[in-house]
Amino acid sequence: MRRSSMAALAALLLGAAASAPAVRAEGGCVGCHRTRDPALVAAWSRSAHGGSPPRAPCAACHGPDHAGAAARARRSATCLECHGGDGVAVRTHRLSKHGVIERLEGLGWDWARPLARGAYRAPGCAYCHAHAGGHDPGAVRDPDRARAVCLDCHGPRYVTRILEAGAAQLAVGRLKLAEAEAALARARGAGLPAAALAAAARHLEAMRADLRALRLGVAHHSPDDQWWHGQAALDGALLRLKGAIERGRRQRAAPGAEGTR
Amino acid sequence: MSVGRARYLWAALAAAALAVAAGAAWVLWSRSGPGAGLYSRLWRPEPVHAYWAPATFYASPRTVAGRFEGERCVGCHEGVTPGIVRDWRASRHAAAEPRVWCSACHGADHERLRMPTPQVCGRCHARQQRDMLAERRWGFPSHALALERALEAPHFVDKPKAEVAACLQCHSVAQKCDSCHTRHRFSAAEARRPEACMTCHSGPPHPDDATYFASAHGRRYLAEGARWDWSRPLRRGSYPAPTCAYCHMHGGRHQVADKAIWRFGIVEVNPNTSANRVKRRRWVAVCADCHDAKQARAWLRGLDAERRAAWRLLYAAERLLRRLRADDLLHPGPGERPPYPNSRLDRLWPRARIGFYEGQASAFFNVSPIEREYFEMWYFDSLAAYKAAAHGDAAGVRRAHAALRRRLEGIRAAAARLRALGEAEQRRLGRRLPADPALWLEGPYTTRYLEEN
Repeated sequence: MRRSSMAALAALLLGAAASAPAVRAEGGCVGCHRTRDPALVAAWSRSAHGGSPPRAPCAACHGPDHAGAAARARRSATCLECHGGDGVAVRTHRLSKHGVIERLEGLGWDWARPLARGAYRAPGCAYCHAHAGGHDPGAVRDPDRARAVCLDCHGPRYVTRILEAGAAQLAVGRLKLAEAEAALARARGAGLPAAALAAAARHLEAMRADLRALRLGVAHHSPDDQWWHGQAALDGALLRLKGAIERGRRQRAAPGAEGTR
Repeated sequence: MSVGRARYLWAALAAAALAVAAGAAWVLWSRSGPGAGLYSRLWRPEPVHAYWAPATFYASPRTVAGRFEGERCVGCHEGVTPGIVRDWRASRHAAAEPRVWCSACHGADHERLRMPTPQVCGRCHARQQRDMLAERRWGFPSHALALERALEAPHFVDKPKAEVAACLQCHSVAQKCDSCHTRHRFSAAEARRPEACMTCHSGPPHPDDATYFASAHGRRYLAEGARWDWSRPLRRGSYPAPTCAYCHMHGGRHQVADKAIWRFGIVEVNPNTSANRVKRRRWVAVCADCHDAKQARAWLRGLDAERRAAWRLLYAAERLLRRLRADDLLHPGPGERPPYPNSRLDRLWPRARIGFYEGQASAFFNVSPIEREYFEMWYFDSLAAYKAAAHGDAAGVRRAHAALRRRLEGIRAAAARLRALGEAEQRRLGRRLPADPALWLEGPYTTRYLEEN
């Protein structure tokens, strides 16, 4: 007990010591850049990185040193400091051809170049999520913006086809989730045993995770995530969800098999 | 008497000849639809398919008229698609003398542009194209057959095409050299590195990436690979540790199928047939670049032992499922689940498909939960064990075999539950409770699957 409260106190002190200069630096960056690049600061502050207090202050990506600040923020390794681990967002890009090329060649790239006009052989995180210096990483989810980024390297018709195929694939995945939600809602309405409903609800949660893998697989171009972690996984979870509901229905219709759950 | 016999013989021969001709005619007819492959009359390609199967479906956009060559293409595309021009400038195509300009691969007439296929690349890279085509004789799995075998899988035809577009991104390797040599650099060095393979060779049924990187070979690559000279050919003495291509495309031969003893891993094989003994000798010859031949043979026997152990567990699960099927205890039963929309036979004679030879590979999405468990045991757990054993990831083999045993126990318990439920229903209702059709045969996805595939 005493040891843990000491640790908490130490963490608090360390945190205060570390955050004080960061906050000052923050005021310094924003104070100057608000007049120099008002659109950039505005985009950042309304993005997922912004907010009050900001979730990712300038120095989180750019580092504390003004020299080389832009190049530092362009490297995917910088993004991975927060978005790392073996998360789906990272895996989908790592497995894509974009990610493969970046991993094989990125160490030798000149990261001082701006993130535009195909200046990099393949996009890392920032090329798309901070394209042409944009400071709202979520902006590229808008298909028109995505299209503009892809066109740096790919032909217009190819980009159209890829984006529409991704949207169509995602729509199919959403149909699977909708089917699961409707089935579970009906099962709840029918008053099936709580254990069956709880099992079905767990499969529905799994489907939400599968749909995310599908979405990120589409966005980052990982076929493995589109199919095995996405569509095929959704198929499995959907039929398991139905199986859980069906079992509840059967147990209610013919009780007596409870001993085997 | 003998005259009568001869007459029957002629009748039988005539019937056989007619059947062969009718069969051939049916195959030709079936292949001549708007799709591709044996079921080409049953599906239409999504527009994006043109990029995954350019030889069959690509048609040039007609946005710009005229003939262009050399600097004229580059000058315009520097503005339109600067990334690929930059890439081409750094490629050997741009450095070659004479230069390999855009038009060499895409053609000069802008209204009739080509999306290059291996045939186009093969005009200069003839040996590589020849090697790749020769792969077909080894059957599947192979890069050369990847696309046609995907299109001929019943689930490809049955499922919505927007959904199975996911598959084609990898299976297009048969028509796209840039699957491994990414455009517009087309680098040999890039394709020699293991990362070049992992966009497709990853995930539950073929964790080639994870098992290789966990092996002694892969760990050495991860630690030192960035400093190796990747311009060197895939030959003895070139690399301190092997990569995917070093073993599977030894000597730079563009075919990966000539040593596949256990093949995809989805059916048990005899690893010591005369054909497989030839393949074993090929493996030993590759390993002998660094290892003692005796040791290499022992590793191959280790893989055989692992496979046999996995198949014992798989067969145990198959037997449980076959008994449930025989006793009509699968729930939903074969007639109670969405049929395969393009299979008339399945509509007439619904049947649970258990095991490879019944077409289980295509039966993973409209089955009862216990069959899905077996599918995952067979396609995920067992193949993970196979790849771990083949790539030398001992911890991976242990993990995968623990997963196989856990999955078998789960299937055993689920089978007991199905029996208990069936018996309870017989006692209480005097019959097996039919599956709920609203649950299994309706819903936004199932409707789309049945009606708009």
